[in-house]
Amino acid sequence: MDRPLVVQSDRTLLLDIHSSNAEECRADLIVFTELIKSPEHVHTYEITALSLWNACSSGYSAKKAIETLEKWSRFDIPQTVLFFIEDTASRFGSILLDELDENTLLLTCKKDLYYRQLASEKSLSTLLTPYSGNSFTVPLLYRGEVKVRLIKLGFPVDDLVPLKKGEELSLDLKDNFVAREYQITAVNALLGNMEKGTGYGNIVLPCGSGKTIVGLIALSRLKTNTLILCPNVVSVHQWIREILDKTTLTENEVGEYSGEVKNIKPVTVCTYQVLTWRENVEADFKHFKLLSEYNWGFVIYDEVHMLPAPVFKITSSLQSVYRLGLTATLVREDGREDEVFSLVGPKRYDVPWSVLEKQGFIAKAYCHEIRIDLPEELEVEYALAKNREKYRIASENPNKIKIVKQLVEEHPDDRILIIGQYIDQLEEIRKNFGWPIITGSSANKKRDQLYDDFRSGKERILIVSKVANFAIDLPDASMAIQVSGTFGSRQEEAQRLGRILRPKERDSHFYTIITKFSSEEEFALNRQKFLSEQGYSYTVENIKI
Amino acid sequence: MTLENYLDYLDMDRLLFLSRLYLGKIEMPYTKIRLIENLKLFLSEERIKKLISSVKSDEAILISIAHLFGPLDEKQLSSLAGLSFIRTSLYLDRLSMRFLMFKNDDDLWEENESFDLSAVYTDSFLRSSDEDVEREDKNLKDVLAGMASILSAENLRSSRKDNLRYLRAIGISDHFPKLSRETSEYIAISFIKAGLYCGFLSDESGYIKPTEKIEDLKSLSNLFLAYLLFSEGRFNHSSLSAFLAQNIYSDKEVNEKLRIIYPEIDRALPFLSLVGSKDEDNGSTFALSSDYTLTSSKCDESFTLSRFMTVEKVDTYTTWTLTREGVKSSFDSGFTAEKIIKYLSRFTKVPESIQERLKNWNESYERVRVYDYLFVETTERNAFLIDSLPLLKIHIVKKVSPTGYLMKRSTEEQWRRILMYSGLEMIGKTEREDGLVTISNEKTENNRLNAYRNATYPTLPRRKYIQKKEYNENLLKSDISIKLKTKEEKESFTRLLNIGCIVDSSQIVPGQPFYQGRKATGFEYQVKLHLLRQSIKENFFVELMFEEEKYIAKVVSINKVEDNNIAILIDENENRLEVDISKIFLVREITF
Repeated sequence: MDRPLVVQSDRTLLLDIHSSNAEECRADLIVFTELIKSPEHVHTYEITALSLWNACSSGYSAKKAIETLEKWSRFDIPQTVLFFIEDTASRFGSILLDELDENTLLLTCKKDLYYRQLASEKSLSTLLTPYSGNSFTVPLLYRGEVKVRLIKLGFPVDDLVPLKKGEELSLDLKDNFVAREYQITAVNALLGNMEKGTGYGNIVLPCGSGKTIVGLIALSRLKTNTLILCPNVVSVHQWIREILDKTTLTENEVGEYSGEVKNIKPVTVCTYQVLTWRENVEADFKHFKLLSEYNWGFVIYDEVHMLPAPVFKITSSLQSVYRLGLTATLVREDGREDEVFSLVGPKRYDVPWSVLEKQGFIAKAYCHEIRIDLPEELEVEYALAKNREKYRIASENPNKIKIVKQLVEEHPDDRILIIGQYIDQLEEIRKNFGWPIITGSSANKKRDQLYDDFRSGKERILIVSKVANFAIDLPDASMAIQVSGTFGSRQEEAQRLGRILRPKERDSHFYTIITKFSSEEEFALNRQKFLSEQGYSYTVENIKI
Repeated sequence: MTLENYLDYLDMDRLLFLSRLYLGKIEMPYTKIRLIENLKLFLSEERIKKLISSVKSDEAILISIAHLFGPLDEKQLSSLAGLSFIRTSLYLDRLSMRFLMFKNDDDLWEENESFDLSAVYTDSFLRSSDEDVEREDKNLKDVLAGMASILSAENLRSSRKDNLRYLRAIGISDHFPKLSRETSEYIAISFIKAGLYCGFLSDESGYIKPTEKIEDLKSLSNLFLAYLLFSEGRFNHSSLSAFLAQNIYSDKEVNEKLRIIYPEIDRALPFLSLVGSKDEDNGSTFALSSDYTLTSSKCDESFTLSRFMTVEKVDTYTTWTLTREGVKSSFDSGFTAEKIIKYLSRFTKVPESIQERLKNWNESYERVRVYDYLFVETTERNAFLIDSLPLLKIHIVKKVSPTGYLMKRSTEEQWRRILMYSGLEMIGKTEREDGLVTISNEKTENNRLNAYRNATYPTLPRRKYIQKKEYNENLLKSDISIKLKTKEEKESFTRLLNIGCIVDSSQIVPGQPFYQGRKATGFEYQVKLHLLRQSIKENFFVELMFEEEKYIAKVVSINKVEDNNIAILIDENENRLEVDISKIFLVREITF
């Protein structure tokens, strides 16, 4: 049998995707591993404590994981990996949290050894009170906090405390769209049989694959007051638009709670920022009460990997509520994935980008890097400039405008976004070609009008500044030309690209134009690596002007 | 004729020459008797004797050995029928011996490397039957005739491309009879050494063709690789690495042999440790992804991969990463983007984006190139001299100013010698940036004079063949007119001869032999000219090196001072100069 898997001693798994059994193997692996990267030949997965516990929370066993590895592994499995799986998985389900009474929870340790360990742990002394046998009592208030602390010590808690239903809300999905199979599967994985141990967790889907729809499907099933937390106002507006478009909820039932607007409705969409706002360092988070004083039945954490640290505290108080974390990646910049696991829940479902692309749910995306020379007359200036200035000179290479023109002409049927960091450069492009421009200083009205025109097709090409990207709802486009700058962190870059490269009838193209032999090259190289890891096709082209 | 008789008949020039040739040195002070003694000692050895006794012509034939693969006329060379020395010389070369090679008509030889005669004769040669020798000699004779005509001075150019064009134009294989593979290979090697880039096709006929395609050289054997190693002037480490990188030899024996010859080969030739082959396991063994990571299952390639990739993880599979820094380091040691791509392509598809990136890095790397050359600065007059010395051409990398040259460091000894022979005796030491002197070019006064004397002592011009019967005392001493190429030359020469002048042998163009078919039936008699400095007379215009400059002046008078002949010269500015007559090396013209 063709065995496509290589198990390495550091618990990483290499999957040869060209193997005839690669797909089947992948489906088996995804249950208990994390996808690290998925370039074109070999996908890399990792067995982590969290990934194992995530699997265990849905009934997966260590034995099953080992059998899977033995079934697909090309070589012998390193002993260290086997030991890790057995030892780590055995911890899950060894610590149970259940209801004792209305205000108290019972923490039970199945193994004597674990009980003694927890009893001797000083950091837990204020939270745990010994009870009978191998149990402790935990005040309901500390439900979230005790789970976080225990997971830091390597003890995942199986939370069996029933979730309470919030205030009922009548809503259904409209029939103006069809949910995709993987979206329904994801929601099924989250909600399960609605018994103990279900109804909370994270769903990992690539950018542009319809995570919002997943949230709406879950919302329509639970039919309860829902609080949706988003990373920025852009997302808030997008959620509200989608809710009104795809559910039977009316404008009166959906509210925005942000810096500008404070409307609390049965379905309220708010930003993380507003929750974490306070007048000064000493002051309280005055908007936290939004979470605690209302009878929410369901909380959706959009882009849960960006959940700000202060919000964790509040999140820990929402443990009795159905909760869903939506993200393209569970990897956090601050490494607090274990807290997401504890406070939001385990990963319930994920699927690689490439799989959705194969199935046609995501458009084929092509990334291109175009390299051009710096004009001779600027070479000396560049050579003599300081580093930051060098970057600007390279970025504002006037030859890039010619490439923009060429690309636009080569793609007459695409809706194109031209993105840049330097306003002067963007203005120059506007002057040359007359295309409309949106910057951070553009009036809201003008901006909204231009976006409408772009969506309707009245304007095919739109120039946007980098700042504008984050502040404004970026419309769908089949092509993007980045003339300067990056999106920010790698996660942001992937996110932006995902929004630009949404599923549609045509393939999507992302062009980035850089100046050869300049400081832009470093960014270009990092971008190439990152996008390749995500599975994007990438080409490099040199053009002589 | 005994050996001693034979040697006795030679004049000083010839003896000096043979001593340098066979003994590699001349012991000072020397006399004719001593030279003969030393030569006799060498040539009396049993194995040498056998060889000498088979000689059918006089010492000119011995000298011809050194002329092999030099600018000999084809017809002349072919007249040397049945000469075992020719085969000997081939063995000399075959054993990686260094040989002397002429580049032009000057008597200043460009000595590529020193002559090690200790391994002159091979066992196989000595064991061969006479029949074998005869048969092989005939073949070789034809071969040499062909090579000689091709490698003649007027055909050789300084540019490889010109030479390649020339080879193509003449239809190189037409010059040779049907050749064995071994001989063809040998010829190809010799051509390459001569600066003619020549390929060898490994079919049965041993067809040789001019080519610059590396692929055509792939069929050459270990011998070629060994030659490459020793041909330092043509291949340095990085270019050799690069060359071999294009032609990854999987022959283990080649690798082993080269390791014996060149122990440091692993450092210089990274690909020789490579015995790679595609894994036959299920799935791919090597996978290079667009995120610059390579996953490989085998460690065989580790040595090579580590030259330009960074190891990320060594586990069941090894993960490598291509980084800019790693690739740059490989460029430092001779890799290029093309080589890396070609190497990786053996095992895995190289994504286009990575290929482009590698090429971009290569392009960036080559934007500024740093070389280790010597900068030589001189005067305008000397620059004129340097420009006109054809032997120096291959040592000059670039003329950077009217009086400044970039010269090869690796051949410094050779071009210094050439400059010295050309009269630039007092060449300065190589000065380092930090003020320290790295090379000493000082010689003792005696050595200097002797070197000068030896350098200017005209040896026999090439293409001189004297039949045995003509070899007598009279011939040695008398001046005989010779047939020259042009009428002007003849007139000029005759005039000079009549007055017994010193002549520079570069002014002499030897005559042609008489032929019947391919067989030479006779030769033009040529004059052996002696250095008759005593013949300088008043009113001669002479040329000499004076204070590192070429100096032309008219002889006013000659006076004998003790044992020395001192000439009083007057130059165009009416400056008077006293010089030892031995310093005069050229007579320009005579006025009466």
